[in-house]
Amino acid sequence: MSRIDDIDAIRAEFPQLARIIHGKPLVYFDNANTAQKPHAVIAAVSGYFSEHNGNVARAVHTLGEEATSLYEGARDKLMRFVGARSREEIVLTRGTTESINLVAYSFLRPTLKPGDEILVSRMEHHSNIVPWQLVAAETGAIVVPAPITDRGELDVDGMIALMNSRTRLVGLTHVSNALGTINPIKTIIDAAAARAIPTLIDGSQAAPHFKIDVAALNCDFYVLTGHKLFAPTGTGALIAKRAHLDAMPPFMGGGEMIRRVSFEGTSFNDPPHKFEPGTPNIAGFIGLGAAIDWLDAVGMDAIAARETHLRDVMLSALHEIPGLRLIGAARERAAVFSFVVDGAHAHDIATLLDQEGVAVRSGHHCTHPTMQFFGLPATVRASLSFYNTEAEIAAFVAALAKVRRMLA
Amino acid sequence: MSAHPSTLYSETVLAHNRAPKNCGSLVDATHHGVAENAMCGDHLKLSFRVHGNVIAAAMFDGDSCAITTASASMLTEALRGASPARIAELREEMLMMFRAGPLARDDFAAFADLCHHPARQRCALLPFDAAIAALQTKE
Repeated sequence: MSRIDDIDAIRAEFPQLARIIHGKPLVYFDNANTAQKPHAVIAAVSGYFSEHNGNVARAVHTLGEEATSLYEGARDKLMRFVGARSREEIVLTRGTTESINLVAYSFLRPTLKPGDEILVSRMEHHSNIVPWQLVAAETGAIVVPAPITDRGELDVDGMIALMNSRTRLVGLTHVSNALGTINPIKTIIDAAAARAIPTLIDGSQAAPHFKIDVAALNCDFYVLTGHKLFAPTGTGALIAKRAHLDAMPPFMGGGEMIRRVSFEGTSFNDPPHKFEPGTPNIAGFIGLGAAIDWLDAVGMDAIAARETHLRDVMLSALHEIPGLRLIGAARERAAVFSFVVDGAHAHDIATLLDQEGVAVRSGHHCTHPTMQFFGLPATVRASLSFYNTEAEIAAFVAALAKVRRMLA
Repeated sequence: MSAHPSTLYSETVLAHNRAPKNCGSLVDATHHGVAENAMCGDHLKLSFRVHGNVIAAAMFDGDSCAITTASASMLTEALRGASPARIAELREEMLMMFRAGPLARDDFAAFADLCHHPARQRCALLPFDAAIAALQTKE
């Protein structure tokens, strides 16, 4: 028996899940937006401030050593969690957005030429589109969208067909935040590698749900964010091949990323510290370390199995609701569901569901091109995590029925 | 927000949403304006026909949420026969209401509860912004 089978005990570890919202028990179905934090994470952050607060990698006193040990410990935990080859491959960032910007500005921009292409799918989050557009605009390169299908799946052959001698990078989300689609990233990574094109995989929506093995994937860059991984906001990582990090110039200058500074010239620290200037979000990363410990103890395979079950229950429930249209019907999908309801706007549904205690996201989910593809301004998105329950799915269905009656 | 039960979806708002006034395209319009809600991607187009210094007619078009639709319905009603300067006054009354509670007159008072829904205030302001854009882009 896995620890996750005692779901009441698991839920009791997440204090937010006991919240009462507008007189109703909270049904938190906005996990793709940000995840709730277990006591272990909250205690680790609090414990840092109350016991170990000191700066990292410079103070030689006891508190500084403790803080450094906890902060660097989080890097080691993350390395094992994602199957990276070495701790030097883990650059700690503020999140996915910073990680992708780091690659755009430090890896790509220095050598980008007019006519070069950056290939990304049409289902990317804005954070995997806009940084590329910014460096493309500066250099005369172009961002090329790879097609998706009406099911909301990647057109794999279509994306591979767009890879050519001008393609300088392929960017692809592991799991779509708007559609829930799980992409066949290994196929794309291998196809790009065969053409010597580097790949960046956005793992923001994947890492919280199933085991990641970056070494086996063999992508050049894998990025993720901590706050969706049950850790504090302002934490994330760029996991990159060491050779790239050695060759890349620093992204931001400051303390901690240098070896020696003089006005005649400055030499830089080795990766990953070369890319981590200034005092980092120490408490946040200690929280991330605690989140990974927690996930390891429960087991990512057990988490994935439970979420697959919840996904299937939710999918069946959604199919039963008249007037509800699910956006995207990927055969490989996470427990993330975008939908629209006849005669009701996404924002109205989300505001009224909140009155019933149900938290969902409404809007474009930072994926304008995906929404444009489906011809929609906005959808409602319900995104589940392992700590959700079948009873919550039933409460969501009942709340949605009530909202529809109100807006009819 | 608080545990306070929302009155945002009042019968006034829902009635305007079900049967919005002045929804469609305005023939012989002298002004057109468009506003976009960055949070949800909603677009709203608002058109006037101005004679002298009076708005003779105002209509809106767009696929938007109940709050935006109701607000556009109320605004286009309120502007008929008013001077263009009235738009900015009405918008200011809405902003004051978001800060200080019911102040706006007529049906706009139905939006008083938006002080408890800051994320939705932009929805009610969207028609005002389209109207202000219309004043600036005469056709």
